[in-house]
Amino acid sequence: MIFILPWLAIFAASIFALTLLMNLARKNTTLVTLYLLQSLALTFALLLLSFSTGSGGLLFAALLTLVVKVVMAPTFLFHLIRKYSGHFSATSYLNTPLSLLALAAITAFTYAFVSPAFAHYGSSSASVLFASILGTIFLMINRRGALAEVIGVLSLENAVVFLPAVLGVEHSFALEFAIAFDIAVWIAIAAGFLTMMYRQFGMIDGATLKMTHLTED
Amino acid sequence: METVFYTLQWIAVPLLSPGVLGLIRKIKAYMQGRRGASIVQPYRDLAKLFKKDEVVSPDNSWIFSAAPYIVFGTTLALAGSVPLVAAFPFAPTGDILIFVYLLAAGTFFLALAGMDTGGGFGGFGSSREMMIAALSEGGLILALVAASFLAGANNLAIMPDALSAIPLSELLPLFLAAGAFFISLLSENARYPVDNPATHLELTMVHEAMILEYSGPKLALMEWAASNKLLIFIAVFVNIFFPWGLASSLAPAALSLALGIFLLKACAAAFAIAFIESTMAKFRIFRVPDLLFTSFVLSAIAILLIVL
Repeated sequence: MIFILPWLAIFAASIFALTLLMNLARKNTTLVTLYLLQSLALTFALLLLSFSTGSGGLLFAALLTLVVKVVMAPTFLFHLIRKYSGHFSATSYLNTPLSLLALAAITAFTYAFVSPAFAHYGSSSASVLFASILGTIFLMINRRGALAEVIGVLSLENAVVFLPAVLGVEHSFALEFAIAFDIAVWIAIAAGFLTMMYRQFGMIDGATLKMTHLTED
Repeated sequence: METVFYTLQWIAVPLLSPGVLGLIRKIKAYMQGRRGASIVQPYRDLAKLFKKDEVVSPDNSWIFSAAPYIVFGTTLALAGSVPLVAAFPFAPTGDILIFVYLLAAGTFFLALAGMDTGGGFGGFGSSREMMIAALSEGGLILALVAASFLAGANNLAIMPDALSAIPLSELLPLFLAAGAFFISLLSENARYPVDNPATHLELTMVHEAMILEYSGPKLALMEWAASNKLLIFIAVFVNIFFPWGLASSLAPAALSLALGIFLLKACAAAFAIAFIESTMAKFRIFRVPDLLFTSFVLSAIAILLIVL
């Protein structure tokens, strides 16, 4: 286990860096690509954990993550973007500099107040992942587009799944399977929600919906 | 030996720099489906300009005449101190603050020369340049400060050795700072999406507007200084923020290997610049502060990750 800690730290750092980039991205297609890369980092981390612990369940969980988060979810999200022409709707309430300032404040808060709680686990990656969790929550709050908010939830799950791994808490296959199932349900709900939204309002930008079509004709 | 190496590097930067510009133009031409001019075209342009006569307005002051030498001189002063193929302790102008403020001195005289002509183009070029320089300096300094905190040293020539010894898993702040530095590289060197180096259109030019009144050998010096500055920025970017592959001794074999690695890294950086210039549009001037502030905050986050 001790030999894979640097690699886990690299994957945790990648997830944090990708969260920052997600907050900077202005295109939905870029957002989905970044989510894909983040999920890939999580898959590698789970694979590494399964090999180091010899857990077959974790290996299956890594493969499940690969299928659901790296292949299925991005393919489905790309399809939704193409279908509803939502390439450019990843606009935010705060502009880029202010968003980044908020992220800097989140990082400072995490390192100043949350890091001491993880100190006895002896892993600095936990703080980075906690900052990623808060960063993805900020992404969901800050974005106007419905699709970006969905990606924010999915990305949040990546960091939440990885956090116990770096803290040394054993993953169970049942938990991984439940999370994969959760994501599949999320995507189904998001697809239904976006389809209804597009049919009703002709757009998937949550902040600029035309309120004139709120009632059925 | 180190003094000899310092002197050699001082000569190498101005010799290689037009080639880097030629390489970027060649990559851009290929990406746009053209053959493009040869990589040595910038050398031919410089030779041609040095042979030409110059036209100088009688209304100019000494600043207009002195600025090309000062701007070129500042880049030469930095040339010896940036790590190209080896990290070495003898680098009198290698301190990060000297690096930033020598560049700022060059930019200051460039802007003064632009205004000195009294023309409209020079004036707005200088105004835009000073706005961009003021905003990009924060990101530039903080990116280098982040690297300096990690390395425990503030001399560019020494930092790569210390940084390459840090495990990859602890280099997240350095890579965030690299992103910030790359944005500064683009803005300080008048590249896309901040400025278009190939335009003379009134609405878009910044750097070209300031040197519009120059001709002949002085224009050649200005162009040469710009390419020196680009190579210096690329050298700092690839050797400070990706500090692997530098020679640990001054033995010929180690230096040759390090030179090969440096050329590979520099070509990758040139490709990144050409890729950006071929795939994205230039920003409107009022969107540039957003980009430069992004650089500043990325560096700030990098420092937070190191300090806290």
